Amino acid sequence: MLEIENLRAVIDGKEILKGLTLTVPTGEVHAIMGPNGAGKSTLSYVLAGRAGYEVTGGSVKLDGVDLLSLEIEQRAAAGLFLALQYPVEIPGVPTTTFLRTALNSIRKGRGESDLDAIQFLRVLRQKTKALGITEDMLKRGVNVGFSGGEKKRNEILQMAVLEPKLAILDETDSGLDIDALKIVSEGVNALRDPNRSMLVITHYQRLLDYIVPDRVHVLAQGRIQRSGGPELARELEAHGYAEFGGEREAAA
Amino acid sequence: MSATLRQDYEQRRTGAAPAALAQLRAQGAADFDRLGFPTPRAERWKYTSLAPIENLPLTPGANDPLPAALLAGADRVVLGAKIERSVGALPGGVYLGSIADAPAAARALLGTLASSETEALVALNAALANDALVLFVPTGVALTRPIELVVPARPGVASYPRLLVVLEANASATIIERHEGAGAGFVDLTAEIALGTGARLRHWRVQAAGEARRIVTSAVRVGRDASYRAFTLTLGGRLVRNQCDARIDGDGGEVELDAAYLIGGDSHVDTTTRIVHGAEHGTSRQTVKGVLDGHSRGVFQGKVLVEQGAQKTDGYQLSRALLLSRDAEVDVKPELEIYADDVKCSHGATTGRLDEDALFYLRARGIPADEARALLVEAFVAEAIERVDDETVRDALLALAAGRLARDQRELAT
Ligand SMILES: Nc1ncnc2c1ncn2[C@@H]1O[C@H](COP(=O)(O)OP(=O)(O)OP(=O)(O)O)[C@@H](O)[C@H]1O
Ligand SMILES: [Mg+2]
Repeated sequence: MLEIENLRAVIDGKEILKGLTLTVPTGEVHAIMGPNGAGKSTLSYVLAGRAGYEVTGGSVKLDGVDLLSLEIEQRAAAGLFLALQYPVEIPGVPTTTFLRTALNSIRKGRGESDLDAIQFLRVLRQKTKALGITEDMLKRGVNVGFSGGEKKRNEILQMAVLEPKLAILDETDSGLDIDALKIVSEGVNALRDPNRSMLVITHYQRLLDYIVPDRVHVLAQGRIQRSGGPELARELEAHGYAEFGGEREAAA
Repeated sequence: MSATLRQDYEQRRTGAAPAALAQLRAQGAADFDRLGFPTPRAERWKYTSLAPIENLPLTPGANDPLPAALLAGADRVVLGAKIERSVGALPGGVYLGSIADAPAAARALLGTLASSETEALVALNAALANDALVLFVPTGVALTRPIELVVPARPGVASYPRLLVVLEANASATIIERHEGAGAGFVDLTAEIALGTGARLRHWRVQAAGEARRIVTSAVRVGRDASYRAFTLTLGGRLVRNQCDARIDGDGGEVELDAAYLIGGDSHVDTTTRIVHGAEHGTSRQTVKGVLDGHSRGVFQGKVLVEQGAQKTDGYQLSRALLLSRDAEVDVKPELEIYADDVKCSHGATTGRLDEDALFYLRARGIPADEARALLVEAFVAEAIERVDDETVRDALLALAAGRLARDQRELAT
């Protein structure tokens, strides 16, 4: 269970999160929607521990563990996974090496033994196929030369391999064509699990037709302004964020 | 009691040496007396001071005066104060050994490629060389086993190994040079390399970490359609200079001079190269990658000169440095000088720090910070190491680089 209480965060002297409170019970999928610049990515980075964000108040707990006191990698070991809005390219580090190192680091934290190259490839093969990720992509440097959609699929692959307790998907649907959106959604749905929570950040109702959330929250001006069931997303699609003091998003 | 390099020089310049070296030594001494050590005023020595060499305390009499040959199993030659040779059966006509018994065709080239007239450290080497190791491969012969040359640096000892490689038309060979020894010794190596039409030489070099001072000067002449490819991996050293002057003399000649260095502490590593295109359709490639930690300093001076007649030249040069600490520094000076009008030449130089976004990404996937850093650094140097076109050697070099990084991590942890 993820429990965020009264979280405040500042970047470059500007307060972005202004007392945000949100709970995602174990096994549930919640969606966060909200206008550009509302602080959605900021929230995800603050949870992951990225440098540059100063937490000035509040608390974040994942299954009772205080995330904010942990290093970035310790948060991952505690079960947090963030699929980035803009995945990073890492030339020279093959995707397989990256994934195996990551998985073994996380297994170590769970008290499990390292997987050797062969065991790892077996795990990987199972997961790549459904996502349409080719051998060639796995050999290349992480995300290097990947299309926007391929990068997003690669994020879902990482999530599938690392099996986190809490996955935050920051606009994983942006830049995806219809087919890729289906592939990614199916990948995400396959990972829905009574022991896993998910926080899906998106601008579009369309994604939530595939990944049907248990709850939808509106984040605007640094706070959760309203929460409701999946119908809230449809309402937002129709009326925009005007009532929360934001602008309606132009349709993509 | 210890002596300075200068005193050691005065003492040794009159020592006994094979007759085949007499002329080289006399010329070298005359040139060195005239030139002296280069000062920062000399253009090619602007960024590298030789003070750590001039002030190095040496143990007098620690040098074995004459070479001895030693024959055994592997193709391994130690270029110490004496040449220790342990080489299996070589193909007919191939010569590997002292200049004294070398084929006349090779002997005639000694001192003609590296200029003792203008290069002080070549002159010093010439003046004090005990012997010269000659590798001669006659027309059409391919040496399939690599020749491994060991160049040791011993504490308190200055040594002046000399190498002459002559590959006749369509001959081929691979040389692996291992610069060993972590102690405060000085090695002034001069290598002269001549490649005939269609000849092919691969020259891989690894330099150990530690306190050694190593000055390597290579002079290479590449004939028509011949190919010289070199890679140097430097893992440290108090002062290291790898200078290579290569000249493409025949149409279609190819030169590749790549290097990677991973240094920290007070290491100073200087890569100075000059590639002259003197014929048409020549190709030159250069990728130099430096990783600098601590107070270390890197220098890259790379000149590519395309002479007037060298049309259709294709030249590429890239130098990239990664600074891991605030106190590390790098001086980069790429230079293109082109006198032909139909050429394709490009160069690039960058200096940067580790990509914080990439570091965050790796850590967010659970990889501990030090391991994430090592992964990024390894990837950075791999781009240069991957230029090595021999898979076994390439893997060995990658492992050495990774080992060096793992050692750094342990040092940081303790
Ligand atoms: N490094 C920074 N310096 C200053 N302001 C920043 C910085 N990074 C983000 N911000 C500001 O923080 C606010 C929140 O940005 P954030 O990226 O979290 O929004 P978002 O809700 O994810 O928007 P979008 O829907 O466009 O992805 C914005 O006003 C943004 O300009
Ligand atoms: Mg965002």
